Amino acid sequence: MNHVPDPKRVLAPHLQDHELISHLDGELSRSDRQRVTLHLESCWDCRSRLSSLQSSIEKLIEFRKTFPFPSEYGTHEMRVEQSRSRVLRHAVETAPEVNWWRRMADPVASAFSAPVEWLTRYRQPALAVIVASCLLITMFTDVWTTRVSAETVLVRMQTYDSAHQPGEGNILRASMRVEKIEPRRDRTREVEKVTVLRDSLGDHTVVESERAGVTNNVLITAATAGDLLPRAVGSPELAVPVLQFLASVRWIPDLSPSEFRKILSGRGVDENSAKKVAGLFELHFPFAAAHPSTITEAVYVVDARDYAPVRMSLLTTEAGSPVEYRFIRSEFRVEPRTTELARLFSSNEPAPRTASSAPRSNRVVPLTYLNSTASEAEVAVANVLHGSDACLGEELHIFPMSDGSLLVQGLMDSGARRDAVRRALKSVPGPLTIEIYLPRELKSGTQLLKPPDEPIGPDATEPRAAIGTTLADLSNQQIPLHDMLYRHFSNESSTKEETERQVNAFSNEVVTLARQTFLHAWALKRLDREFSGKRTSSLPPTAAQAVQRMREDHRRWIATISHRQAQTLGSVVESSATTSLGASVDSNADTDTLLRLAQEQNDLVRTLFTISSRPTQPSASVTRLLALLRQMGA
Amino acid sequence: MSDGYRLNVSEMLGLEEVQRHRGSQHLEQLIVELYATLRNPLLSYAYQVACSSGDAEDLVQIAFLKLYDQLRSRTPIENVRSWLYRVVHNAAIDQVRHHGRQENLVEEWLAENSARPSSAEDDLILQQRISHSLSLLNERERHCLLLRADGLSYKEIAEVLSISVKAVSVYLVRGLKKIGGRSESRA
Repeated sequence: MNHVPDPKRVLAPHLQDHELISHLDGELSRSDRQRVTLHLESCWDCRSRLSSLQSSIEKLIEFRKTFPFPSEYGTHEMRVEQSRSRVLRHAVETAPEVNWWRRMADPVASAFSAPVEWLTRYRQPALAVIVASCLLITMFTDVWTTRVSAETVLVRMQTYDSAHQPGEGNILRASMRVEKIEPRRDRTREVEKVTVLRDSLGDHTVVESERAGVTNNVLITAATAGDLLPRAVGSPELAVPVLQFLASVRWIPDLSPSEFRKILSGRGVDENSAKKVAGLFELHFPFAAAHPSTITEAVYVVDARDYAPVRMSLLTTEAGSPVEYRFIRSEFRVEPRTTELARLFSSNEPAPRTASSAPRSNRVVPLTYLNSTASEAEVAVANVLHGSDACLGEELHIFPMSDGSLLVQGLMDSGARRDAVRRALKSVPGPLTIEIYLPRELKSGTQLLKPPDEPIGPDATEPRAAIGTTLADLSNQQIPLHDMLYRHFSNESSTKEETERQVNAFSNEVVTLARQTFLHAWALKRLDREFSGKRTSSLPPTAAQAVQRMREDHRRWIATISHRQAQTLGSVVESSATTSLGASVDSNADTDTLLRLAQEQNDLVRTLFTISSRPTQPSASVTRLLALLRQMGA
Repeated sequence: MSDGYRLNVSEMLGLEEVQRHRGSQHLEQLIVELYATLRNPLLSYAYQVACSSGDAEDLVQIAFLKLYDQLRSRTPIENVRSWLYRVVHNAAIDQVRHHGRQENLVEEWLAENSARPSSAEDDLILQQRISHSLSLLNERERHCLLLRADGLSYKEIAEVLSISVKAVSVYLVRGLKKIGGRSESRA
């Protein structure tokens, strides 16, 4: 034991290589740092080793700096855009699908699991019951299949119909599915879905057709039914002569007997037949031979218990082979006449019947915020856009239309983002048309509507101008605050190049955050415009709360980002900006003030942290900027 | 402040805020902003490790998609930058194993650039000398030097390469000695 020398007593040995490099890189612990510094002061040998390492580092840095990217890597901006669409596509492809499926699958699974379990457990008795009931049904239907008069059925149906008219304050909603059946090719296709809303007041009817995911809304009256039918039921799948015939009898796409009688009135003959099959009356009404509509027969299927219409078929021939158009009732109910529903009927008729020609009222035009009120659907759409961040920096507007529907129209900068927004908007119920363009799709013929509100201000009208700003890069030009930042980031362990990189990264971050703040303030302003007190006074509390939540979101983001930015900047920038412009903005500050502050800070940041321009007095600008940020980031 | 302000990107971008306030709604945007900031160094690193020009960009973009998944699943990441470097590093190494390395990359680049009139004679000599030295480095040394040149701390480098902090300093010295080797022998 005595042979082992006490390390503290022995003359310090030369420093090890890894200690030298750690010293250069500032990676030593405090105690090691003292020891190494002391040793270096007294040891020429270690000092020379240190300086040779230092020169190697400089060489490496020099090499690293000049080593370029291959040109095929494209511009930075291009790659950032590519990455944006990739991330968004990835986001859409991964998460929401799974959640959506789960949401759909869970209730379905639970609804089915019980009977399925029951069936598997008692399979034999269950089978016996099924067979017995089938036998009974076939036996009795044979007995019941009698010939009844089609006319009798129609008359009884009218009783049913009048008993199911919407009363005061109600609306009747009848939906049907249109199918095209080609028996020879054994093919059935769903053509479209049509919903008819009948008002208790007046004879107006709203026809809503949904075809290939697009909803179309037409307000028609008994008088205009003929002209407007092709717009309401405008599927190209429907043969033109058939459609023309239906229009000529002013048919409203509804399965009610009164509408069915209109079809019968034009068929040219009086024959009919009826039979009862399995609880259903099947009424057959042949058409006159070589009828111009090409229809050979109309079939009306009615529930034998309560005389409710079930479906209607128009039989025709196309190119020699039989075709059946089947209209199947999918929904039929009376519901309260809510304000939104009422608007579907009323908004179209500001001055009813004064003009001599009816068609004037049939043009669907966008309304402005001044002459319309916000609906629950509009709030829902705004909420979806808010949720997918499409309220920030995108030029999307929600247009309330004169027929009560909504139109989302505008420009977005990437196709993937547009798809994501479209997908999200699918969750919104009600008539909604989506027209979102990418800049390259805007041809001269495409018309973007004027925003539904007045421009907010000459400077603030184009928030995206900020996006295209050149950020600080590695070019020779320096941003105004370069020297200040450089001084801050440099220390004895960091190289020139590393410091430059930090300055750049820092500047880019500041610019990005400033833009974010501005966009949130901008979105807040737009919310105020769209959901002003006047437009939202008749909204139910839940919708008003949703609007309030969106506002709070934006305010919170403005406060959070500004606060963060003030902190970050304050720790870096040498400034005596401890003075504030005054009290910080409280949470209820009016939107105009916020927008003004946000815009000013964004402008200041762009002057200070990008190479685009050069302010006259950087330090004064910094002081002002910090004061602004502190004011907003309460 | 005197020990140097380390740029903590995740803190500056407020990723924690995002997770707290809005789940993943805002995340896509932040990921893209982070990409815009860190793309160049990561790309250059991937390029020099994998040495196959076509796929480096892809490696980097995939790393950001992974980052997105990770943050969305609320798995905390202590240091976003070294996490990204590690993902890129591993992917680049995998690629080298599968497709082999394009060894003469540096020479190729020099051959291309020597034709350029703007390239000064002195620079060229320096480049050639360094590229020669670089070719003497082994993989670990090269990786450590590249990461250090990108401004990663020893701890971060250790995380990226899954080695100890001390090993990082040892590799760095060895690599630097090889680079400086010729000038030392001349002196």
